[in-house]
Amino acid sequence: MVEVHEDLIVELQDATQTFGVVRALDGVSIKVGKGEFVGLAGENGAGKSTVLSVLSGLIRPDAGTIRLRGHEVPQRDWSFHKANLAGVFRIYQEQALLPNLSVYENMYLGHENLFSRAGTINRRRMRALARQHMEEFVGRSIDPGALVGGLSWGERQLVEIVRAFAIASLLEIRSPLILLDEPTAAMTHDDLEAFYSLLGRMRTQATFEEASFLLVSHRLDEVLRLSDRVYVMKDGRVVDEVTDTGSVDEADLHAAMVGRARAHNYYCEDRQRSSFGRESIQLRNLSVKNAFQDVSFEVHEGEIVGVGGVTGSGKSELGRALAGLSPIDSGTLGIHGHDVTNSSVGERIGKGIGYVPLDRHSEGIILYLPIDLNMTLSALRQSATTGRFILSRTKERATATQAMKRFAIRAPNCTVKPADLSGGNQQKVVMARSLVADSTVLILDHPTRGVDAGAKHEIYQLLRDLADRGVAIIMITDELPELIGLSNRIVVMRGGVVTQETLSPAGAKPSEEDIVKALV
Amino acid sequence: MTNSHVSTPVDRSSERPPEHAAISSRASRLPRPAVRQLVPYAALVALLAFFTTQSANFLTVTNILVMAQSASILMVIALGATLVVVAGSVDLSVGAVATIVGVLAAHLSQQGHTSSIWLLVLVGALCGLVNGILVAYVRLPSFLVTLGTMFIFGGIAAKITGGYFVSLNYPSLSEAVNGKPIGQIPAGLLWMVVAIAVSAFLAYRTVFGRRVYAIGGNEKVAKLAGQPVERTKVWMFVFSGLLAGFGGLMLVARAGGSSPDMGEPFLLTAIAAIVMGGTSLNGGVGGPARTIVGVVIIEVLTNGLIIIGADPYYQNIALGSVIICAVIVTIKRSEMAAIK
Ligand SMILES: Nc1ncnc2c1ncn2[C@@H]1O[C@H](COP(=O)(O)OP(=O)(O)OP(=O)(O)O)[C@@H](O)[C@H]1O
Ligand SMILES: [Mg+2]
Repeated sequence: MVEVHEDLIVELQDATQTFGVVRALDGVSIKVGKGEFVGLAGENGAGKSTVLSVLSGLIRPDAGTIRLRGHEVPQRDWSFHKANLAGVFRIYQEQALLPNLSVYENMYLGHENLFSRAGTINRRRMRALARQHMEEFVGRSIDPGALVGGLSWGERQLVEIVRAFAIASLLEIRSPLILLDEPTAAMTHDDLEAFYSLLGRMRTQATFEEASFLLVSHRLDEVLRLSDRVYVMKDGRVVDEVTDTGSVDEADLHAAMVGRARAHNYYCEDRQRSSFGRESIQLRNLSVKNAFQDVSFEVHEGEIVGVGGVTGSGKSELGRALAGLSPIDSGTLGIHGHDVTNSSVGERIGKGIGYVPLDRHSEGIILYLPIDLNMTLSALRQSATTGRFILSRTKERATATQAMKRFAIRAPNCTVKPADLSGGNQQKVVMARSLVADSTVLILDHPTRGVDAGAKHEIYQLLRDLADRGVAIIMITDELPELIGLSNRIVVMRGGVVTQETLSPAGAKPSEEDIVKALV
Repeated sequence: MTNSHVSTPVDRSSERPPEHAAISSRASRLPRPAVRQLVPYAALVALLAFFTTQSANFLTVTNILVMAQSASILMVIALGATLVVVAGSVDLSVGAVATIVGVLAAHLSQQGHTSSIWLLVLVGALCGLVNGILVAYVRLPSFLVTLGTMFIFGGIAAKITGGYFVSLNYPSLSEAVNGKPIGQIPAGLLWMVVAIAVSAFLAYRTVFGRRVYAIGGNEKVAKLAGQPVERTKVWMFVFSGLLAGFGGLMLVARAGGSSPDMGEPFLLTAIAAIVMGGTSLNGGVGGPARTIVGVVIIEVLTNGLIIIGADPYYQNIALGSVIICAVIVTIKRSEMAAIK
């Protein structure tokens, strides 16, 4: 007779999961108590998302048991929907709302039957309930009737979480388990605070006192700040457990994750250049309607310019306009002295622009195209062909294998599909593409999104390498330490205009407060 | 099992939720991807084995050559349409394009203008160009564009002949399609080999082919990577039209003349062959190699049923069942959500 732990919400025991040759989970055991907030840290590909998939019924592990509220879950009968009904909710690394439906319709998606009588759905009640929950948790800023497609990333993330609580309360589950997979990876500074306070409110709310959370995140500060306890995973195993999150700092957690201390010089400031070459990219009074106005700055060979700003500041739109995705309404854009204001994406790539978009899945990567082919896509002629038209697989493989090494991409070989890679490794594939294309001007929109702490450092080193080779880099990011640590110069945008341009020389970096003041 | 849980088009199971969780439990019972890819081949072997045991006349050199000759037209047309499907579009006008070219050929031969008949494949290419421009530059969905042009091309063909059978009077075309240029090898087989070589080369070995796969995989990414998405789309429709036009010439030679609906049956059979082989209607995966298997399965089934003397009415029933079974096991449904 197994003993029943009344105070545990979920207990995963000895879970093993292989995907082909990859052992994603190798005997993982994890417990979450009622009302507990548990963190899950680990490098890219450590198996964190897979743990969440197992718990949420998306994957049936090869071996291992799940015990929910003390009772073993019958494996054959465990599915995503069943998990939902049992109070296990997953918030996705890549979001899972339907953009063409309204907030309230999204909130009760899949549970409409609870609102229906004689086959018709009582939308009024659905909407009223949704409104009640939204106001309770996030205030009036989000209208339940609004289309999800029109919300910002951060707002959508809030909707997703409130959704879990709304369904839990509808199903009268007092102890839901919320699985969060990198919820803040793409959040801007302001959304982040709203998000933390939302989590705080949820944990203190009387009706959900017993709600438990399992959080996966590469932001180690937030893992420590939010969690009561942290599991550290590495290569599909739990290698450490931090029970005393108050007395441990980021560097300790990093060391536990990676197996060595965090590089003292995380942003490679010692390698920051102080002299630059010629002007590489020049923005003169650039404007795109409804996005940003009158933006002017230039970046030189070997220089890294960081662009910061909150949601709606226009910084991502600026990146898109530079890449050629949205037409420039006025002003001029020059690259290496050529006017490319009205050039197509392809022509700009030809001139040396490389762009790493914010939304990896919809714009960055082709999930079912092998990674070598993904990497050579921007420079087919140079990296994958002999002559102009005929592909050379040997050349292509060689190019890709080399890029995989440089970026330390964790994959069995270069012909696997990105769909089978972990989130951070997918990001590296996207980065590798512009490297393969030999871009001389890189525009990076959140280049380290979803990348683990160790790999981030590798990417920073790589950016320094590129700068040494004379590449001009524009880095759009929400991570202040990264923005400050990496940049030679920081451009802050607010409401579509540049509000501040600050030098950020090695050894005399501006403080986070300085930047935040300009942000909001 | 890994990818089958999800109904969103482009993602892996563990990172994205199923839109309708009910799918997940069902789909996970399907075979693993690697196994799934082999299913069309297994089905083919099973069919071959079955018909061989049923009739001594089935697996003979003569009958194999008969099958090759008979499958050649479908192969040519289906290979053309394959690239379009890989790019995530569809070409419903291939049957009508074959018809219009066939009808024109018969018509011209009656008027004695035989010298220009071979050039009629360019009419097919032109039809493809119209499709391509409407899809790529006017940005209309390929389904609707080619549905429309299917009626238009069909209508033009009917107008030319007035709806009657017109016989072909051009022996050198008939000889080139129905003859046996090398020993016992039928000409159809040779044309088929040429079509396979050309389309496989284009798909797997050229920059153009790579672009087609990239567009099918994620058009936005292809665009962001600087690929000429529009131009590539136009060319792939032109290629589809070109092969459909050539199929039309083979067809009119095979039938000895043209009738206004002669290309019709090839549309759906071609799509069936493409999908059955394992090319997803969602684009990005599959290709000519897959289509070959699909065409061969259809031919073996049709021919085998005739040889064992099955009731002709059963043919379509059997074909339909095989299509559905093949699709159930070959298609990763996670990659198929758009085609509900
Ligand atoms: N569907 C799949 N098919 C094949 N391999 C997979 C699949 N899902 C995950 N993997 C592999 O399993 C390992 C663990 O992946 P997982 O997504 O759990 O990592 P993670 O810890 O969430 O990483 P990240 O921080 O980058 O998101 C990785 O090596 C990944 O490539
Ligand atoms: Mg993950």
